[in-house]
Amino acid sequence: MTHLDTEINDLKAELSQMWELVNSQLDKTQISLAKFDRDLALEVQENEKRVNAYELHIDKACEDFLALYQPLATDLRFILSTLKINTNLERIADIASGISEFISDVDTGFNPKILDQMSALKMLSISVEMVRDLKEAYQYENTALARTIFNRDKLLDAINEKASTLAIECLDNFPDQRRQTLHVLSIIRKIERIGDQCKNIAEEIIFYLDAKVIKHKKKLTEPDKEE
Amino acid sequence: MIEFPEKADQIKRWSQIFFFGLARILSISIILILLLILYFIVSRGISVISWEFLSAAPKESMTQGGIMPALVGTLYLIFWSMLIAFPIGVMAGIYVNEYSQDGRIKRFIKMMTNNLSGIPSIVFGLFGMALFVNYLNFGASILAGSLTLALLSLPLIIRTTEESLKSVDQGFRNGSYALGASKLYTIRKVVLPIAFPNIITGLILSIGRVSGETAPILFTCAAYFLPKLPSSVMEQCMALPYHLYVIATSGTDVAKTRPMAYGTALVLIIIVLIVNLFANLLRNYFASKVKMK
Amino acid sequence: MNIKIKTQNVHLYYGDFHALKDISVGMYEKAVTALIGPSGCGKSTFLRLFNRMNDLIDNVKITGEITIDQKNIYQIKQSHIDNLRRNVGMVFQKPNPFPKTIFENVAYGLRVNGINQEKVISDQVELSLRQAALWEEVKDKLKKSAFELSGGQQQRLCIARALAVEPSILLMDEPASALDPISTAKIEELIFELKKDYTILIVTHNMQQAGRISDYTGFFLNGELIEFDETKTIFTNPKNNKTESYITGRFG
Repeated sequence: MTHLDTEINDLKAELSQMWELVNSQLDKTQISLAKFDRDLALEVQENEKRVNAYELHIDKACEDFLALYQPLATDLRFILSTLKINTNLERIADIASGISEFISDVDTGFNPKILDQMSALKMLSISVEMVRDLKEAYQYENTALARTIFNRDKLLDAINEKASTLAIECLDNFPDQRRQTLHVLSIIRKIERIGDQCKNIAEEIIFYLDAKVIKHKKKLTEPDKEE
Repeated sequence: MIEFPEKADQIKRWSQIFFFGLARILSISIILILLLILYFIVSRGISVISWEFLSAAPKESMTQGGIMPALVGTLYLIFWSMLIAFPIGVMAGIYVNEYSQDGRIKRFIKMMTNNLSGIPSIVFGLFGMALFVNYLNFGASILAGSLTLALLSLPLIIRTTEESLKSVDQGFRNGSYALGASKLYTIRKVVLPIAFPNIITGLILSIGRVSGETAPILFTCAAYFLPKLPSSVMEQCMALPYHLYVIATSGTDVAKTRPMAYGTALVLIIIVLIVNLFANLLRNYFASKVKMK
Repeated sequence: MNIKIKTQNVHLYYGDFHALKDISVGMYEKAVTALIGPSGCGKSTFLRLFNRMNDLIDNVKITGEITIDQKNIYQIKQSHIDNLRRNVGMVFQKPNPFPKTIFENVAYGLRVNGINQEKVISDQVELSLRQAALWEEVKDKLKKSAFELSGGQQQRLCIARALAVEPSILLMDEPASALDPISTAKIEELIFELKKDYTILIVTHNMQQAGRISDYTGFFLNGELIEFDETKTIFTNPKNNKTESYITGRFG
């Protein structure tokens, strides 16, 4: 193993650590939403700083790697995807922290019926799974697993699309808890954005591993629509 | 667009053919001349070569007998002059190239060796007579003759040594110094072994020169006629080139000694060839010790 | 990390030519320090200060203080220069194995040192060849000429030769510039391994190489040390404009 490989492995390990932290942030968000644990929600907001520190550090490491090793081919793809995944993960952690803010903003726990009707918990658990699977795909270089993300993202989009209609119903059904309903709607919008970030990460992983620029495929087949 | 003009190409081709053809013809003609000389001497000299010719002294005013004393005398002179000149010349070459700082002394030595090699050999002969024969009182002897011949061949040996050392890549020296080796150690273990085969070339050239010179030994060593071999270096000896000169010019019956003269010349050439061959073997031996490949 | 090599206000003149101008810098132990800069900037001259190879050139004048392990190496006895050179190995730009066998090349430095027990020598030869990652390739042809090896192997042989006398510092003057990319990669890997035990100074024209293997980088220009810093800093955010222009190829 050359010392370039060592550097790559170090970088990979560090991104994995950050990923683990993001996973735990999401887990905690999920628990605090389901069980209405405000302290946990506050902890998530507090931990956001640690994620940011990771992001800055990995950013710097990528910059050094590019400057010192001037990588090519797979190594270049690796570093570019790492750089982007790093940003995406930080966004996901941001979103988790945002969700936690909504959670800590309500005084009493969420009405399980509202959460249930609008599929908020289901959605969150799907997104948590997505982030977790992506980490595995990245670590074990599993493109097949990365490709499963796209369908799940569509599922999140579908839930999100119905969310407005469902929110109106909830506003009518639970007039005392309109604030809660609006919060849940905001949370759902945020979770949908986690899905988008996951899609980006999946594309980066596939870009790195398969040398296939999935992003541009659509453009090539339907040039008119995209422009 | 790229073009391939026919005419320019033709001119280029013909000028190539012309110049390379000229060079080829000239070099072939040189070889032909050499072969002609060899043929000339061999064809006329081969008939007198016999065991007696090689093993006996001249008889009957040199019209009969052999050339043994001259043959052995030449070998003596080669041996002693090289024994004196080679170590001194090599050491001087080492000094000039490796030790002397770039400066006046080095330039002076170089100038002197260059001048020395330009001096006519008869002048060496005179000088040898003045210094060795008379002043140092060696008399006309193998010693005086060898010393004179040694002086004659020194410039060549110094120059070839110097050039051989100069051609040794500085990288070898630096590599050795960088390992903490001293200058002397570096010269002994790295530089000299690499340069030695080429230094031997200088020796070969010197032997060729020494064995053929007449003038330097004329006044210092060579005897007109000696029936027996010299028993010490303080005695005179005969030598092939001088003998050749004698029988070709001042014999009592030049017509009768003519074949003897060609035979002598042939033997002289063969001796030079054999000594060169031997020196070449020596050169190859030293070259094989240096693992250049 | 300790400072192993230090220069203080060092000037060097070749006759009238002022080749190094007021250089003060400290270089760390067991790290790789790269010296970069355009041709004729003095980086190789700087490198040769530390085993006093500049002394071999006529008309050199050196002022200032140059210390290795706090000892001023220009205030030692003439006879101790050989000891200095044993402690400070050097690898040259062009591989320069001696025209001897592979074994004798590595053994040379030991013999210089007066070591003559064959067992000691052969053990050390093997160890050095292993350190230079060459043993597996040459173990069956130790008696063959060093010139039978490829350029890259020759250069690793020269590294083994330098390592055999157990120096603590290794000076490398563009050690890979005459080699193909694969041999270069091998040499670079080797340097990376060696820095665990040796303080390495390497002159290189190849910016990527400096980036890949060095921990610290010094940028020379017209005999001046323009900037000295961690390689990361030099390569991502140099403080001096001249450094920036040089490493980005906008020099001129």
